[in-house]
Amino acid sequence: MASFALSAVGRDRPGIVAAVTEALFGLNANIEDSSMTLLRGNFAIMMVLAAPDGVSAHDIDARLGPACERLGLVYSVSPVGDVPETGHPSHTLSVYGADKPGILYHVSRTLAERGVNICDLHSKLVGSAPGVWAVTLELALPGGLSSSALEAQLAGVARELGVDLTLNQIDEDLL
Amino acid sequence: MPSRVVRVLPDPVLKQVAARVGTIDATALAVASDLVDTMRAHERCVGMAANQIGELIRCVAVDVTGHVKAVSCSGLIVLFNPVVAEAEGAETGREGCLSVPELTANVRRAIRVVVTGIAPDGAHRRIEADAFEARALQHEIDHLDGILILDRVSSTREVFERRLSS
Repeated sequence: MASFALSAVGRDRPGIVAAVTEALFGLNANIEDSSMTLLRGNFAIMMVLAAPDGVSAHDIDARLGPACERLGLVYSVSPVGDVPETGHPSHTLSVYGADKPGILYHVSRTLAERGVNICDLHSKLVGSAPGVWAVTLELALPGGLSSSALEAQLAGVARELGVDLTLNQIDEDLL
Repeated sequence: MPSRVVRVLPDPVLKQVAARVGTIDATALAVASDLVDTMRAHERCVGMAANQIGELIRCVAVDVTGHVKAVSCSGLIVLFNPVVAEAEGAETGREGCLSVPELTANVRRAIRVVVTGIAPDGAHRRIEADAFEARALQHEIDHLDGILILDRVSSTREVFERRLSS
């Protein structure tokens, strides 16, 4: 089995997931992790799939091509190696405030400088201009960085940006 | 009594409805004892239902002693035929489950409950619980009806990959 990353995006309509997965099923490919969602009227697909030996990115491309063309999807397929997990999230971060360019850049730059890995991120712009922009992230903190130290650094960034921000630890209880 | 193997998805026993216990006999007591031992054998595990060790009888064990999120705490609770008799309020919290490895889910539960059932000594018990203890009791009683955290999710964004490192 070989792993491939597939992404596709296009104007939303019923049948996109069915068409893409039909093409993959035709190759006996197996969808492993995926994230698919609506982004302001566009449906976006991201996934990592495993294909049987002998199936190339070109083969997947040839199967997907007609379906994506019919549905007006821009797509790409590329091989990915078996990569190790980069760490599981330990904290959630939510940031929100009056919308303007640069909020995520300034927050994520601070995270990157401290070696914090972003494992998951969803943002949404709501309301009329300028609207409210809200983003939620799941973060993996590197060893040696305390959540209180990170929170203090992020609070400074939030003040400069004029946004609100909260860092919470993810609970790990087993019921 | 020994700690047992915890059944994990896709084991069908997790989706079956457990039977009411008629008489609390030696067999039922052995299941209850194994349930407690199995719960204790897993770090950070605060509750377990009989389905999770492959026994389809209505029996749960819960113990939130010392947990930071616990408000009410009745110590070790072992109940046969537990029922949520009263429930009040609702809040969402992230739950993990030994039978659903590697995933957690945000689940909405009542904040305060009254749970009734039969203790191992045969006495009827009425437990008033809130906060984390109430959540744990509701989670375990769900197991007895074949209901898992994945059945309680109301949004796709509410299922997460669990951090495996402790």
